[in-house]
This record gives sequence, structure tokens and C-alpha cells, in this order.
Amino acid sequence: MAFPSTSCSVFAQNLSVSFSARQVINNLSVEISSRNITVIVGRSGVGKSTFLRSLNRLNEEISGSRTEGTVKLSFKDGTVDIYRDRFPIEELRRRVGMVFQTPHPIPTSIGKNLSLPLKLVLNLPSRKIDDRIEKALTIVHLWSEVKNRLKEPALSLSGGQQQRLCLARTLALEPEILLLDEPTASLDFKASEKIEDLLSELKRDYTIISVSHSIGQARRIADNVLVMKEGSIIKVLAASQFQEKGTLEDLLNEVF
Amino acid sequence: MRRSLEKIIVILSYASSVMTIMIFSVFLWFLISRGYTTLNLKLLFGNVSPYGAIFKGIPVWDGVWPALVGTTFLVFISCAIAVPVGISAGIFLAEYATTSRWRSFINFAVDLLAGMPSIVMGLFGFAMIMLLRSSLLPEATTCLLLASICIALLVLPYLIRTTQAALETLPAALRLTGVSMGFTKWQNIFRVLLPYASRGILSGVILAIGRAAEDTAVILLTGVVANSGLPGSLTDKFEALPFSIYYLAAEHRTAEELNRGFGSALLLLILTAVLFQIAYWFHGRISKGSR
Amino acid sequence: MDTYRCLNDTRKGLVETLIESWLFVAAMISAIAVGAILFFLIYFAWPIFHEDHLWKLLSWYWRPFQDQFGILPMVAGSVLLGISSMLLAYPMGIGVCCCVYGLGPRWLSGLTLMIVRIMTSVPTVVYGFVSVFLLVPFLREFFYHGSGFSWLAATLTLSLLVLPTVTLIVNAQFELFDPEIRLATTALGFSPIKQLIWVVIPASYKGLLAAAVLGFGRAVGDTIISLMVSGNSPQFPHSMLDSIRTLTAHVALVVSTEAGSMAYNSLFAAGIMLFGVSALVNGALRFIRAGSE
Repeated sequence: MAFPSTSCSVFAQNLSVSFSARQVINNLSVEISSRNITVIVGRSGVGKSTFLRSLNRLNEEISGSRTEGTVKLSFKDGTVDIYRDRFPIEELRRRVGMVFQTPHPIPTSIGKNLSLPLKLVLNLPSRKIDDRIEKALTIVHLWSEVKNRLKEPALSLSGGQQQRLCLARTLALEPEILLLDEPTASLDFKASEKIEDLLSELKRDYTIISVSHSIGQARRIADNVLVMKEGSIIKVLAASQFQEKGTLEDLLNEVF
Repeated sequence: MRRSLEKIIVILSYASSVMTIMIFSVFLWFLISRGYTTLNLKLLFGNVSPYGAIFKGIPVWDGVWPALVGTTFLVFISCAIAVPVGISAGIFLAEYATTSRWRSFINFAVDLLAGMPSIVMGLFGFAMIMLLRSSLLPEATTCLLLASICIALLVLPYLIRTTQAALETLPAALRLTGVSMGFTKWQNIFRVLLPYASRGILSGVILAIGRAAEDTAVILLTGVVANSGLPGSLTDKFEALPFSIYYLAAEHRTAEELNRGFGSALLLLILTAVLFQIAYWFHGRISKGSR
Repeated sequence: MDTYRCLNDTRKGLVETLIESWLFVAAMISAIAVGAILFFLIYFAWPIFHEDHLWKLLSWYWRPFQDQFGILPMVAGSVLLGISSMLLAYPMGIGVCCCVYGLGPRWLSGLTLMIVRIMTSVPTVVYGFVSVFLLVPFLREFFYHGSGFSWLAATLTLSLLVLPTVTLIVNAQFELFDPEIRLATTALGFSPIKQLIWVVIPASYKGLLAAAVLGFGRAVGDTIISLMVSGNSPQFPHSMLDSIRTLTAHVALVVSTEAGSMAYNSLFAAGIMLFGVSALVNGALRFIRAGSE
């Protein structure tokens, strides 16, 4: 089955996810276009994070989960029906990178946080690993801050730095789709601003899907906004529809 | 009537606290006042020079050096057996035992093992030797290896439970971190979860060392003796610190031997108290750290 | 997408399977050990179930050299000592917890909890040793009766051993009590003592029950204290100042004296009973916990 349109990179149809009989995602269908930032908004508990996790099959790591429906992802070299094709799950998760609300560095050095996944997941030789680390840290503007302290523990970094480190760790694996689960929720204003700028730069190369609690943030960075309620997407908005201040709020008030 | 009941309870609760403190103080004061003068190198080595005892292997007959070495061997061997098994079992229970039937079966067994009186563990070792003697190995006797195996069984539940708890209390989102990067299940456990849980696991290991060092009932039935000197091999009889305390309490012939008993008791108390406090400290640090 | 189908999968798959199998085996070792212990106890105790052996065992006289191998005095000893030391330690432990929960001043409760924590690290043999040279002579002088090695001496020493067990379990249960409800009841005008009696203790009965069961298990399971200070006479005591012998001490004594095969039978009978007690304690704890869900 081909994709409805070529610019689309995520395609979900009749997707339902439940945890021990509690339905969280309910018959959800959506198309998400590539090289864009798509922001998902909605109240807490409507299934935003669960939807994100259904795109890299991460729900399967949570006990009692059940997924039905179709999710197709288009990568550079083809399209994968992730719940039907026998595509290796580790490779899928490498290609669909994810960053979480609270940064979780591996409790080792800064350098190892990046090199370990490259070694374990991609089996890269160490020469290439160093290049990739530098490249990833440069993208997230962390290279100049940490290049002389790669051997120091990652947990000694500030919250904002840790989050950028986690982003770099994901980017180093060269994913094609980026899932962000409220990436700025645990950060202060300054650090959030840095991450937002970063995302706007990254959308040239990646398809970014982010969950956000902040409507202001959605307006600042989103090309598309998906509004979720009770486990489905009830509204899809394009940037032109909410750029003016206040319109997004009004639209959302209408919906809730 | 109700008022007086309340009053009685208040008085009793005060009294229990004050009594606990007083009794324990008397206990400590007595042990320290009788024991502290003997806490010196002579307690360990008697009339042999420390250098001679440690490096030349001159036998020590009037010091607790052989008992201290015996206990160290015992702790070391039993932990060498129990730590890998215990941590692995803890990982299995926390991360792999998803089907509830296996989980509850193994949980049940671990609980049973944890509640087993240590003398039963010793009796088990003794029974194994009795069976070996009547079948394959007529010369088999109780020895250091046997005691270590039984002690390993004794401390195994501590290791399993602390490992399991340390892993299960990790935040749920952390569990997804490694997996989301494409780590396999084991890579995620080994590289991400275990490093985060290491403090809790370490507290379990220290607790296990403390338990292994202080238990007397198990070794009583599995090969400890009063005067064997240093153990030369795994199949030798051995001395141990808790046993020499027990032995000296009943069998001391001179005032000097009795003093050695007090010194050994104080030494063992300091040893286990320090170990347990370190374990609690580690444990406290994680429960604060993980929010 | 066929090219990706088996990317790294076979190699990783084998390693992961091996690791998983090892973890399973490690977890099963506990179950195997429990099974092996039970098997050995039953295997060696088997001859008891021969009829006249069983009758020999169920008698009040232990005189191995006159062919009398009764185990009942030791059963009585274990049960009596377990009960008596709990009668002392249990109310005291709860008292400490009440004091810590709010009846006592902060410095006192802090100090008591710290000491109880330290008490958990005292080796039983050290308690026994101090008892032999402090408590036993004191009892001998004070009551002017016997040697001082007695049921009473063992009770007092053993209660010191189980006090931290009781206190820490009950205290943990008290701490679980929702501080919001605590605040609400304080706002209603409940004094700390009224809160304890009418709200906290009734809500914590599971923890109280668990502490009683576990404390009793610990008291019956202890060997060294009863072996060192109870006197070890295989008899039914007529007063607290009489000497008694527990099942655990009996096991230790019979092994060290090697009194012949019938004596060994009684050894393993004692082992089975102790196993049974710990299994019962375990079952009771499960039952108590299961009620909470």
C-alpha cells in the first residue's frame, strides 16, 4: 500500500492502544508530513505520550499494553508497516529517536553517554564514533561547553545541558523521525528557549513530533498542531491558522 | 476512664523509649568498659609478632587472628557464591518474571528462604555431609566450603530483595530511555538500569557481608572449631570470630581468655555496626536521590 | 525492507537468550534450595514415622543414654520462650513507635529510633555473651535461685533481639499513614494520643499483626541466645527461673555430642518443626498482606 502523499512520513490508521483493558488511544487516524514540526496538544491523560510511543513501539515495554491498527513510517529507503513487517525493533527505534520529559543520562561520563549507544546499537568503530559525537554535540550547541570535559560524569551537567545531551545522544544515532515528549517541561525558561531554537533548526533534516503543554510554545515552533481529546485527534491546524496571538487559545477553548 | 487509659498509654510509650535507651546503654557500656582495654594487637596476635603471624604464617594460639581470618574467608567465599546468584535472581524478578505464575512461585521460595532459621540452614549442610559420607565420599566432613555454601544460602534473600527493590523503584521513564535508542532489553538493563540501581544493590551486598560475618548457628553445625589455626584449604576446619566468642563464654579457663572474649565481642560488634551503618547510609541516599 | 530483516538479530538473540536463561537459573536456585532443605529434612527424619519411634519422640523425657528420646520439652521451650519474649518486646516496640509518632518529644524519638537502628546490627552472639556475664549473674544474685541460666534470662535477652524487628515494621506502617489525614484530624482537635488510639492504630492493624508474626518467628528461630543463656535442661519449666531448652538449641547440642542414630532422628524432627514454623509465619504474613488488596 502506498502512502497517500509523498510528503507524508507518518501515517496512522485506526490506531487503538489500551493498557490492561483501559483504552488510551481510540481509533486514531492521522497523517503527519515530513521535515516539519508537528506539535500535539491536549489535556494531560488524553494519550499524547502513548501516541508518541506507539510510533516506535515503546508501549510494548509497558506491561499490559495492547496495540491494534496500522502505523506506517516512511524512511529514506522505503516504507515500513511497523506492526506488520518483520522489521527489527531495535533498528526501528534507532530510526525513530525519542527524547523524554526529564533527561535521563546514563550514569557514566558525558562522552560515554554518546559513545555507548553508537557502539552497542550501530557497532561503529571508535574512530567514527568520535566524529559523530562531535557532530551531534555541535548540533545541540553543547560541544564548546563540554569538549574538554567529556570524561566528567553526565549527571554533573545542569538540567538544560542534560536535556541537550540526551537530544545529542539521540541525534548521534542518525534517526529520521524525532519524537519529543514534553522536552522542555522540566527546564527553566532560558533552557527551554534554547531547545525551541534548536528544534526550529533541526526541522530541516528531521520529521519532528513533539508533545507540549504550552500553547505559546506550540505557536512559536509548530508547523502543524494536532489537538487530542479522549484518545483521538479531533483537530488538525496548519501554521497559518494560529499564528495570530490569541487565535490558538480561542480554537482550543472551543474544542475543550 | 478514657482519660486514664490515655494517660497510661502515654506513660507506657515514654517508658518503653526510655527503657530501650537505658538497656542498650547499659549493654554497650558494659561491653565497652570490659572490652576496650583488650582492643590492641595482642588481642589479635597474642605473643606472636604481627609480622610473623601475617607474613611468615607463625601459628597464633592465644589471639583471635585465626578466627578473624577464618571469618574473612567465610565471608569472601560465601559472597563470591551468593552475590552473582542473588543479583541475577533480583534482576530476573524485577525485569524478566512477567508471567505472574513464575514470579509468585519464586517470590514464595525467596520468602521461605528468608524466614528460615539459620540453624535449619546449618542442619541442611550437616545432612548433606551425612548423605555424602554414606554414599560417595566416606571421608567427607564439615568444612570451610560447606559452611560458606550454607551461609551463601542464608544471605541470598537479602541480595535478591535489595536488587529487586533497587530496580523496581527506578522511575518508569528511565526504563524507556535505553530502549528508545534501540538498546536490546539486556543492554538497557546492564548499561542504564543497573548503574542507576548500583547504590541500592551495594547496600544489599554490604548487608549480606554483615550477616555472613555475624552468624553463628550455621557454622556451629558445618565445621567451625575452636583451635584449628588458619584454614589451609576449602576442605579444612576453620575458626570464626562469632564462634570464638560463643566458645570463650562457656569454656574460658583464665581471666586472660575471658578478656579475649570481651575484646572479640567488641571487635565483632564494631565490625557489623560499621557495615550496617554504611548499608543504611547507602540506602538512605537512594531513597532521597530517587525522589 | 527485506535487507533489514535479520540485522544483528541472530547474534544478539543468542547472547540475550543465554543471559536470560542464566538469570532464570539464578532465580530458581532459591526454590531449589528450599526444596533441597525440605527433602533432606524429610529424608533423614523418615525413620521417625516408624510407629514405636514416633512414640519415643512424643514423650516428655530426653535421656538419650536410657533410650528415651522425647522432644516435647524442647517444643514447649521454644513456644514458651517465643511467647514470653514477644510479651515483653511487642508492647515495648509499639510503645516506642507511639512515642516516635508524636507522643514523645522530638529529641527522645529521634534518639530512640537511632538506637533501634543500631540494635539491628548487634550480632546475636554478642547479646548472648554480654548476657552471660551481666544478666545471668545479676539474676542469680537477685533471686538467689539456681544458676541464673534460665527461661527468664533468655526471655530478657531475646526480647532485645526482636524489639528492633517489631519497632521498625510498626514504625514503617505508621509512617505510611497519610499526613493529610493526620493534619485533618489535628484540625478537628484530636490530640496526638487521641489520633493514635482512634485513627492511626486501627488503620495500621495489618502492620501490627505482621510485626507480631514476624517477631515471633524471629524469636523461635534464634539459636545462639537460647543456647547460651537458657540453661538447656530438657524439662518443662515450673517457673521463669527454671532452665529450658529450645528446639534450635537442641539441634546445636545434639550435633555437637553425637549421641547415636535415634538422637539424630530427633534432630531432624526438630528441623522439620522449625521449617514448619517458618512456613507458617510466611503463610500468615501472606494472608495478612493479601487482605490489603
